[in-house]
Amino acid sequence: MKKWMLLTVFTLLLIAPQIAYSMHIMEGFLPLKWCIIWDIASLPFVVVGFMTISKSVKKNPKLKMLLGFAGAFAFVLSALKIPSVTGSCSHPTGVGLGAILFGPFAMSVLGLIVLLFQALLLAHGGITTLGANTFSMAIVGPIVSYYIFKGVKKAGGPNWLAVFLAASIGDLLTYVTTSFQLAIAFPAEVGGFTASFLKFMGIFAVTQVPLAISEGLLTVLVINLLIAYSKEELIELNVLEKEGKLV
Amino acid sequence: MLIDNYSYTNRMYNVHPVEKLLFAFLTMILCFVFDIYTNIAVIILMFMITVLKAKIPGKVYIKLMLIPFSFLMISVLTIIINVIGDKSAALISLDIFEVTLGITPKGISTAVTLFFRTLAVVSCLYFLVLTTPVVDIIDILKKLKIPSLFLELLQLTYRLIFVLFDAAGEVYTSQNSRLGYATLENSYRSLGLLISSLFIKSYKDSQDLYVALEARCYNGELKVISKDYRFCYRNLIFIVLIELVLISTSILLRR
Repeated sequence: MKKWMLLTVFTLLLIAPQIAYSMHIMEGFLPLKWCIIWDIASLPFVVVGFMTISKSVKKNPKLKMLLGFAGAFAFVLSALKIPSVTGSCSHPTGVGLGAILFGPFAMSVLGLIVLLFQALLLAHGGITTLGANTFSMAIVGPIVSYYIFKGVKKAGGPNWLAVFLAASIGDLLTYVTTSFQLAIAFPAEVGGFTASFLKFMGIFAVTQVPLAISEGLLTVLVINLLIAYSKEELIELNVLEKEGKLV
Repeated sequence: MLIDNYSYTNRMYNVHPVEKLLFAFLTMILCFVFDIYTNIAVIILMFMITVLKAKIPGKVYIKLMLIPFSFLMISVLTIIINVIGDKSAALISLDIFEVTLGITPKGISTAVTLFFRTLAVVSCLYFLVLTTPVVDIIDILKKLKIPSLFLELLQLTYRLIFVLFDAAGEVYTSQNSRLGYATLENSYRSLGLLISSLFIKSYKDSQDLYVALEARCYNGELKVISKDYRFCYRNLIFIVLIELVLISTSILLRR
């Protein structure tokens, strides 16, 4: 029995650092029923996001190009490697940064586009699990990040804290949602959903907490650099006020 | 990007994209409906078609199949290992702090089914993406009456991904050659600089793109000529036959 346990621990340690590469639920993993349920759950958010986008594009046609670039920017971001404190590498989700720069509504549509291209070009995630992944990465993550950012700013917290918390908690909640989606589709034999949720959370928490902290730190750095070097663009995006204060 | 390169250079590039999409999606649905034997058959079928017909090198195909493997392994292990009540039903069990962890035959059968189903559906996806360029897929979406703004965003994003990818690669190389990623602290600083300069470049380029389009009478619509494809009845019959064979053997094997 001891040998068996050691072997399991060893394999887990071997696999765990790589899991960040593919935190999207992969193609074919969810039963058909859950694929459709998550598609339906994501749809209203994407539609609302799309309507907000098309309204603002009508007012300002330049915005279309910017949104195209924002999608590509998010895609490239997710392909970069963040150095992690634990020595393994991970990919930033860009959830927090995107939500702060472009707002949560635009992110639901951009996120869907990015996830589609990740499935088609990188084989991360998939077509059948597109709804589930959109729900966790393009809807829950950005909305949480955005409101944490606004909330901390309103409470009078400093910029770096607002950005850090927005990015890292948004990141974590994305993974909590993923665990939830996996657990509800595959409840444990004994203990059902709760037991299964705890199992998935246990594994993802170990790997994701350091990564969420890394992403939080990185996002603070990026926002600081952007405030220093591209004030005008941020003012145009309504991230900064005229006097250069974060909104 | 590997997959994108092959989608333009494979031997099935000239096949009508709707045929390929139909084939991939119908087979995907069969993978969900039927059990493990069908799934293994699909894995072999997709491998044969992609490697022998579309002439994607077998090595590349297998390398691609290994990408989602870590997620698959960890999730399947999580599903196999359970907290169990009575030890008699378990194949292997283990006590940690008054909690009994174990593996039951039922857990194993769920996990095995899941493992092969996932691989089968992934191979359908690989068949599609390795033989069909993204541009063609967007063209099909256009026929499905998806809002044009969404499609334009798709087109723009697809083109710009490669522009920004190149830019990011160049910045990364020059930072790396100046020891930008030598220590952990340096790596964070360099990556921060890379991302913020990429953002500034995106913003500036998007403005330039708009100016360039305006100068060419842009009125809110990007017009692109799509490639002309012809349906091939032999292929359609082949697709129908294969699906029928899969369905009938799966139903027979079930009994």
